[in-house]
Amino acid sequence: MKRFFVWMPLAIFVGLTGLLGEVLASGRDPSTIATPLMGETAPDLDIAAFNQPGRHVTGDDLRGKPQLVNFFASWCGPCAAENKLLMQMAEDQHIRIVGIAMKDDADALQGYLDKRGNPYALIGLDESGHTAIDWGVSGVPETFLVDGKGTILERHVGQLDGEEGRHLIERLKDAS
Amino acid sequence: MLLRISAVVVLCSLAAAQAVEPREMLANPVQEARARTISQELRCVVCQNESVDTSEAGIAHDMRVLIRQRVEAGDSDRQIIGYLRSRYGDFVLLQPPLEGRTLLLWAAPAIALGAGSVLVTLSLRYPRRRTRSTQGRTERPR
Repeated sequence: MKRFFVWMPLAIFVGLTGLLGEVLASGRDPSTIATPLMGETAPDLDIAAFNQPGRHVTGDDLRGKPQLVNFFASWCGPCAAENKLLMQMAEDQHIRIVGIAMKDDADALQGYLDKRGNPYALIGLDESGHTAIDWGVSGVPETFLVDGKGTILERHVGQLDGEEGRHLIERLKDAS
Repeated sequence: MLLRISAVVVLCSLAAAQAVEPREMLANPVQEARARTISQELRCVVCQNESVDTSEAGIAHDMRVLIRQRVEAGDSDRQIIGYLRSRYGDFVLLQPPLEGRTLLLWAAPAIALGAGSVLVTLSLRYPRRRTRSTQGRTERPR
């Protein structure tokens, strides 16, 4: 019995260390939320298109060929930093990118695109932020890869770097 | 002094209630109360440990507005929470659901209490020999 009391705390300590160590070693980042939308049909869209009066961006705009859906905003620093890579993808690789400007102002957005360039085939204005919530987006930038049938194949939270960009280009080629 | 304490208490409670802005609120008090209960059960997805109800974050504001729109449209509490769960997963729930995967989590307090009770019972029933051997002895004067 006495031995049991001596070894029990040690056993609990070793057990807990192992458990916590495993979670730590798995490299899981608790700030990124796994999306339940992966592999599902992308949520429907119906928002006003930027610079095209009367036009709406809808789910039909995400059908046909594999493409990227990039949630961004003119007020977002990492989005501006990511813009260069998106420009390369759109111009050099002919990748279709649909932009969704989250809680943005049309004038500010125009200024942003004039200054940085416009990689987007089409931009939808998510004024209420409810489209972002519908897509499970927690902040900008966030990028989704949608195949020709409108199924979400990839989701990237935060600014894309060169390697992640190349990965998306590969996946787009695989999907087409 | 009492006045000061009560002033601090009032100010603190005001601060806690500040996240919900007057312009967000619904005119119907019953619907507003429902919306607040729902948003208290949901986690603000960018602040890790704050509810949608108390968070000042932009997305929490958008969620509060969305919840209120849905309440007004006649959705049930379960439908609204289910909708946000289908978008953000269990992460958005402040209280994890009771299911197979979370059974250990929910059972942990009961298991700890049970194990503790067993240990206490055992140690009371079988006291250590040393305690028994000191019985009946007079203590040495200090």
